[in-house]
Amino acid sequence: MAENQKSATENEQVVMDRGTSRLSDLWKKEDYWAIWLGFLLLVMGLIIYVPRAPDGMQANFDKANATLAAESSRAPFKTIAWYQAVDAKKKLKATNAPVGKWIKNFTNKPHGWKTNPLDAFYMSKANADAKNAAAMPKYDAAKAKAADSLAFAKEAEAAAAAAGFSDAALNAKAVDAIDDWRGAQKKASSAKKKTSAKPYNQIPHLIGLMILMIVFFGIGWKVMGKSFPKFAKGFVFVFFIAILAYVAAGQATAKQYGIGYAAWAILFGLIISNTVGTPKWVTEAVQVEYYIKTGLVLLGAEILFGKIIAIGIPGIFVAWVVTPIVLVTTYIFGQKIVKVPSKTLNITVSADMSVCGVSAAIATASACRAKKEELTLAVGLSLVFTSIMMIVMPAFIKAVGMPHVLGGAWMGGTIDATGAVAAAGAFLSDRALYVAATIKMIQNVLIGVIAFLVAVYWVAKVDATPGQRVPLSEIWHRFPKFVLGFIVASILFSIIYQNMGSDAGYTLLDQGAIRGMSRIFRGWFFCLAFTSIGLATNFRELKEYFSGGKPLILYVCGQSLNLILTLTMAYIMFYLVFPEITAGI
Amino acid sequence: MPPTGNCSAMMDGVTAATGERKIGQKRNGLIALVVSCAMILLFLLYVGPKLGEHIPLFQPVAQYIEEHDIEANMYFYTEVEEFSDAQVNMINTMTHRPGRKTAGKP
Repeated sequence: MAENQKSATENEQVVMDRGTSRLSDLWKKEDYWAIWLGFLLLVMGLIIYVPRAPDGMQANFDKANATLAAESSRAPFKTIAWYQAVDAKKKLKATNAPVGKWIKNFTNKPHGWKTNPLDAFYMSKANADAKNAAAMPKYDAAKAKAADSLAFAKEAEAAAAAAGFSDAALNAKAVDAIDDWRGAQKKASSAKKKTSAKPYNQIPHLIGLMILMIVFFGIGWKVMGKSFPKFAKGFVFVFFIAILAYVAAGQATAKQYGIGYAAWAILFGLIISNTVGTPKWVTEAVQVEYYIKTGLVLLGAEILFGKIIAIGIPGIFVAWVVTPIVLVTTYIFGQKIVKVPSKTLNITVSADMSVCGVSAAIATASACRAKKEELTLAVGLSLVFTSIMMIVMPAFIKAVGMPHVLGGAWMGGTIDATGAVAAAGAFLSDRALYVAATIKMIQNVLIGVIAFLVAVYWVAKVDATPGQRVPLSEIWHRFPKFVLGFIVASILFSIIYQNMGSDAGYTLLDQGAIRGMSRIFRGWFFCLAFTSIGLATNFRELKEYFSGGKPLILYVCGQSLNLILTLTMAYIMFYLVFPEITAGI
Repeated sequence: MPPTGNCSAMMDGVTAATGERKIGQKRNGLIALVVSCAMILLFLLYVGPKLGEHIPLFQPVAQYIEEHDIEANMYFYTEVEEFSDAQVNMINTMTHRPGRKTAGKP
């Protein structure tokens, strides 16, 4: 316990607080407030979206499933009707209900922009109309091409069907034609989106959202015995910087380079704290832990265990065998060979590199009491390597002629950031995207397990006195309680998803309570947390953690092992053990 | 003990010097802030796009991201629309996999 009772100054530096157990902890500690606040939003999400099934949802599922069953037994490849049935299912979303659209508008982050930052907040009707008109010729061309491709694909499929689907050449021709149609349809759909810009004024919504969040976090703050007015005053500033981070992340170049809101939030916070200094009246709202823990409880709901079983056995092997091996090996390598001075930095970088970048870094750093500078460093490393790998890997895969299923699995298992996986996968082909996304989703699910195990390991081993056995009660006292909220949210939502089945689970939970509530607020909370990290960090302190370039060496060595093992395992699973699954993708 | 005349003058001098130093620090800080913001804007609006034009590998990926409006800088799968598409496709591929091996495709 002695080791756990650190000084107040030291505790301000870590991503979690002290662990002592009293009944009053339930309303006096951030860990519990993170759970209450997180669950309040999750329950609201369930109440709002689950009863709002789209009209005729079950009938539409039945119709689509009947088509899928018929088509999958009729042809040896995915036919046009097969894809159209899947597309029909995709359109059914609880967030399309009026209340879902209202929530989206109210909580929306600033819009994307290219050259004029004001576009992030405001667009007049005249500008929206002009934008739509400018995009129309491209859409018309894409639509015409998609229609031609569909006609050609129908012809090719009919020819294959006429031969009883037993002519390999005709089948291959039909598959290629259908692939081309899918590509053309995707382009037309993207072009259509650019013709449907609507006027907006995000400023009143952002002010409303800020007030809502002041009340949301402020209630807990007040009950914890701290000053609500001071918090509210400081929050306005923190929220403003978080908005700037979202504005920068929404810019076209930032998207292309893969620089997300977390990196911008840290950067803007760092610039302010290291130039003019963080104003004293802001510090009351610079609360890294409070925001991050609440965000992590929400993240738990987005980790659905049942989903991974449905999306692919080979992927489970690639993600769940390789990832833990790389994580543990990199951590041991960091301790024994590189001799990273801080164990928390070591595990944060190892998890960041081997699991899924920033989200894994946040969860692991919080679970092991990593310092905010260590989390910043992990996020920075991930950002740089993600940008490089997002560009280089698809180019390499194309250059060597690697099959796209294998390439997709390789990228999904090794590129840190999820958005970069989508970009690199989609750039190669739909097949590569589906496999890459599947592997990455399965890895995402690992975050919960890893955060839990790291928290247990840290309280039972790392923070314990050497040679002494830590009793269970002591582990409970020290255990970061918000991790329990994170795990319970994950288990609860996984059970609900499982009971609903994958179709209704997608429509009501995934495209309802999760994407319509949890995801939105979690994004804002993480952005506030990273802004707070930047506002409380000194460049010189940050430099110390990078001494000797050890975190970089650790990252590069770990990622090299990850690249080799993932490629090997993906080849074994997708081409030697489950070739029939690969052929069907 | 109250300060003597000399001591008081000296303290006034120190206070004035400290005040000037603080004003100087504030001015430098403000300049650094403005320069940093300008550099960020310069990167986003000019250097970033120009740099991309000179990296052959970067250009096609960047163009694809812009054309399809992919959220390439997001961190979790629920934040990226393509993952939702992929998930539905993969679940249906697993439950309704075409009966025979696809001919002619890797």
